[in-house]
Amino acid sequence: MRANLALTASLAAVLAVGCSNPFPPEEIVEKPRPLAGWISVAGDPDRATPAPGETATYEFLVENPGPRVGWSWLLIVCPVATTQYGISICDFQASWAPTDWPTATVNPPADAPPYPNPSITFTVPSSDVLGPDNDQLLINGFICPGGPLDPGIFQALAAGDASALSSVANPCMDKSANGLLIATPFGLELTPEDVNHTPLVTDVQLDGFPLTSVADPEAPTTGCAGQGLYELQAGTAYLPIDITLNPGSRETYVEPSPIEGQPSTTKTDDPQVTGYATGGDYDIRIDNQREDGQVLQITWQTPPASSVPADGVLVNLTFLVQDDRKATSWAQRSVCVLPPANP
Amino acid sequence: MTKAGDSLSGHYLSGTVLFRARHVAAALCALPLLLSVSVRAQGAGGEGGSGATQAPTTPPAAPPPGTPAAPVITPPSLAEFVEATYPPEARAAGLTATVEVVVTIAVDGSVTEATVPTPVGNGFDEAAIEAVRRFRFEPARRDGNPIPSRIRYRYVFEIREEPPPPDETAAPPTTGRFAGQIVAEDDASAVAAAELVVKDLETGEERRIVADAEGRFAIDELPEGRYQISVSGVGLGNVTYEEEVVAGEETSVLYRLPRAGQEVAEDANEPSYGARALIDPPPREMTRRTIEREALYRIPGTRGDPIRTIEILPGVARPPFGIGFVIIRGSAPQDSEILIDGVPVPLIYHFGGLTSVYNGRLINRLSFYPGNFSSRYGRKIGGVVEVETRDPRTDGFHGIADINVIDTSLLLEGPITRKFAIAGSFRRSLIDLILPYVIPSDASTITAAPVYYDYQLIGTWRPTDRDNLRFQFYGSSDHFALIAKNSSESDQSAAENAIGLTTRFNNLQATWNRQLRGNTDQNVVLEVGPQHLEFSAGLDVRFQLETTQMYGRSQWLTRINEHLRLVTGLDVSSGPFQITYIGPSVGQSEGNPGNTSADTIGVKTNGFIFRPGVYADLTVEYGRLLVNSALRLDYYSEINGYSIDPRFVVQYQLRPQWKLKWAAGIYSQPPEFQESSADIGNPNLNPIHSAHFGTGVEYTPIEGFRFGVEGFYKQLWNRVVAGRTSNDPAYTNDGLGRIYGLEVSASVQPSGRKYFGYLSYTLMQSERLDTNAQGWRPFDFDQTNILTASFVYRLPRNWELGGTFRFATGNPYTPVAGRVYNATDRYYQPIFGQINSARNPNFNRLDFRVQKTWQFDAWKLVWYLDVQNVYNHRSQEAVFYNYDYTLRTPVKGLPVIPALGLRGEF
Repeated sequence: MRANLALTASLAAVLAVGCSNPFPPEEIVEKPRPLAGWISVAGDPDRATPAPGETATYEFLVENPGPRVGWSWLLIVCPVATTQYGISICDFQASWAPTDWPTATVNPPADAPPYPNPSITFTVPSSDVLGPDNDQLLINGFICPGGPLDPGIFQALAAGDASALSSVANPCMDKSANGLLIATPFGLELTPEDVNHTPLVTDVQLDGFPLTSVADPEAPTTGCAGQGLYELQAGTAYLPIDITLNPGSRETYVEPSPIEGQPSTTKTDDPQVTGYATGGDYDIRIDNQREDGQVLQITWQTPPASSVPADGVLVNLTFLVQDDRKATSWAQRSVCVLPPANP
Repeated sequence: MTKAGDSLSGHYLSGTVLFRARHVAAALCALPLLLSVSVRAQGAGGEGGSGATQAPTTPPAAPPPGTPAAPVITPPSLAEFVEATYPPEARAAGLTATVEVVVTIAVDGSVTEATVPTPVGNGFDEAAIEAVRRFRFEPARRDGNPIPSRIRYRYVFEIREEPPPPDETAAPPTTGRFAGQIVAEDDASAVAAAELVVKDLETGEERRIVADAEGRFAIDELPEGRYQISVSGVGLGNVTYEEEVVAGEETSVLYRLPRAGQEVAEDANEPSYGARALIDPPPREMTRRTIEREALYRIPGTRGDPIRTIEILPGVARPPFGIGFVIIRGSAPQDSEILIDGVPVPLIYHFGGLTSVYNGRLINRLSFYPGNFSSRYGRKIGGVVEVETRDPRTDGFHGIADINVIDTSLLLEGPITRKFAIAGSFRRSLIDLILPYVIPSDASTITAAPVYYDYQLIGTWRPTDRDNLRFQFYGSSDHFALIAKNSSESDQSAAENAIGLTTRFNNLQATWNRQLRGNTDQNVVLEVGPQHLEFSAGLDVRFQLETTQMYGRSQWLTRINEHLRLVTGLDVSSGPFQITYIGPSVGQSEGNPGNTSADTIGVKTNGFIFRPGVYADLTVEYGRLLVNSALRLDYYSEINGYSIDPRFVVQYQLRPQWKLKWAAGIYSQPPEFQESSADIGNPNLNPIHSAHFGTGVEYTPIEGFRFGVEGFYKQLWNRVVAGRTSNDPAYTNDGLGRIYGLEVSASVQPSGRKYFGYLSYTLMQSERLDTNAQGWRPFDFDQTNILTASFVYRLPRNWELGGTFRFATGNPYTPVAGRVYNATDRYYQPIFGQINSARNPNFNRLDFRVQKTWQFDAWKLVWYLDVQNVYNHRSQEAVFYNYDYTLRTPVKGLPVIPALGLRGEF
């Protein structure tokens, strides 16, 4: 390991620093895709950690440029298999039998708005069924934008081919669509120390102006002028976006040491906000709340004037908030970017 | 706050670990822009010499060791002698004389002037001048080019008695002729004025003679018997030989003298001060490739780093990006060992390849064993690179000061007493000190600059003629320094967390060489030193190792008789360790592109590793046949396992120019730490084994030219692979491997010529089998074709020109076939296709070096330009994917890198 780490570290040192990324930035949503997942417990929606016996909903935030598209999905909640490495998979050997795993299917997608986010509502089985130390479950499955899932997936699963849950390259019938396999673990609340509440966005201000409006999901990309959205000119400098979180976002919790036998440590969440947009450009897109009451700030600029038509271009802004224990929520706002006025 | 693009989502770089933070700008990427200027100062001393009898009396000064760029000056030699007319009056009066004549010799060898500064009278002066003016000389040469010269020549006038008529009844001869030549070991140049002490081993009577300007000597009537020949030359080491003179016959010898401070050549049995005692017997390995010191610093494309020269040797694969992986005959880097004076070192390059951790000017020789190495080397199944350092110089005090924009170093050495000499060197990087002045003042950046230093302190002491003690204290330290300009504290904090690398080791080594009675040499090496390695990537990955390496070796070489040599030895590698690791599960060390688990594990463990080994090695040399049989036993405490490795080598000298070789052997090594750890691995693993088979032929048509062809096959078993199912342990011994290939090599290094070169071609296949279900796959660094050619030529007026061309098949990589989205962690995880089923395009590169030397009386000045990748062909080294693995782009290798240097030596 000594030699391996030294060599790997050396290689990483050479490669990881200073190499530019030639691809379109991740924070600009250029195609239909998921951005995050939000789990909430029934009856206590701000809690991200369902306990055995409780019902919860896991919702995937999907976004795309332009009018919203419908998604199809097949989602399964299952116990996580112990793996040495690689992707997380369902544990078909677990005491919680596959026939009892909650499943949610929407296939094909709704043919008319509103187009909901893919989601699954499920009840966590009892500890007797889960096993005594099982503090995690997995959401496994497929999502597909704008069309149905590949029927071969259902045939494979019906035939008992569990590998379909981890090896399908594209689950969509239309292979040009951006379909995805989903493997998303989430934590359970086994003891009161496990409770984790979701941090929430309470206020968003763009360059000092409160942002409250969200465009109609079906609104076209252009022609937003005069539709009641906050309007600003194209080609601005980077503008500050101030994001305020709820007062309880910085929870104190006890974190067990990853090293067995070592004492646990008491920590306080430093929630992190991450910005996404369907247009423009972020300079600073991530910030952490390290003090109570701290207003988080990221910076964004409008698209260049050359890409903005006279009737304006709609830009949806998404702000994801996630604490150290992965509890996640989001807030969305919309702005209309207009070409600069003639001098 | 974090800049856009500092996403915590994963970007996958094929074949490496996953990093989720990329905040730090690259000082390393600026390296191509750096021009290095170095100035060296080296003290003079102890050079020159006395004249030879009846020969030119101004032998050339011996070049100091480690200065391959020094011009080779060949003195004039007498080609046509003309006997002077003995002055009649003087003969009649019975007078004799020795006339010293100053002779000026033109480039064509003719005498243009002859004068007698101290006349002796009686007609001798005129007679001598008249004769000398008709002499013809082979002119003096500088780097092979004739130059005018002036010498002193002693013309001896003596009255000879007429020889008596032959006596038909005379007794058979009782004496023989003993003659030969003395040359320098490193460049085969003639050693003028070397002194020989010829000691009759029966009577103890000693005779002393001095070699002429060409290093030649002769004793015409030496009584039959055995003699001890002690040879010494100015600025050179001493060696002692035993010779037998047979009556009526001529014993002709060629002696090679080492430079002062250089190891004594094989077969010397009584090294003197300044040299180390002989321990290694003649070949015990099938293949030993050595780059001599003359070439170590002059291979184009190595930036003068001696250790990088191994990259031109056959069987050595090219590492990506020129980093410091040593990939020998298709073996993983961790399967090969690099040793300094017989002791393994934790790392050999600063920052994975920037420059070696040992001052190259203290390196005497690199020996490379690509396979079938002797039982001296254990616990590795790949190959071995041994760096032999030299002793401090004893011919006066010397110093080398070197400064360039990368680093600066100082080397001082010399004798303290007649029996004790020391050398000390220190080097520190300068990049972190220079960069703040290079970064624009209005820039808002954080740059990670490599900071490193290394040091060496060597002392040699020879308390008796039989003992040589050597102490060495050496170490190295690497870490990153953040250079922030106009950046916030939070950005600096984020950068500090982005990536961290700290390595540090300090070793104290003691070596004792002793000649025991009964033709046995003993070599004892002890080394102890703390080592520290720390690596972090973001907040989620941290590795820290604290260990104290304790290494000991004792080896005995016994010459049982003229046909048998026995080497026995034991070595122990041990020490306490403490490891802390927090990060993703550690997967299979090779052939594992999917080691990107989001699961974080943590382990903190300590223990004590004890790995003793014993070995014996018997060489039978009879006529043209040499057979070497060896056995090595090792124990590995961490797995409570052992290995027994038999090894054999057979060599047959078919003709003087042709040598045939065969070899077979078993090689073993313990699993890597994480593989055998009880916390995260499997302590019930067994040692990993490899069987090496090889055959080859060497052809040496004339001295300095060597051609070789070797075929090899290596079978690996008990390879450690990751458990495949949740019911398996983390690691198992279920892996196999096979490596086979052909190496063709040629080296041209004739003595006294203006050029040298190396050519090597390797055709090879290296494959692994992890599970039967997956089938055989290429090794991570499998390179089917590797071609390297390097050539250096000395031009007139001390110019030197060289080039190195490399071609290699591109490394395999595993393509991404799909992806999985993890919404909780908000990243995409790749689904890989068949392991190593795709390849990077072929690699090719030309390096170039030009050098000019100005030689002055007391110092010299060297200017050089070393350009890597002259035609700027940036080969694909890896594949880089976007955040969701739907787009990919090649990661290109290094561009053209010029390095301009200036060096002065005193």
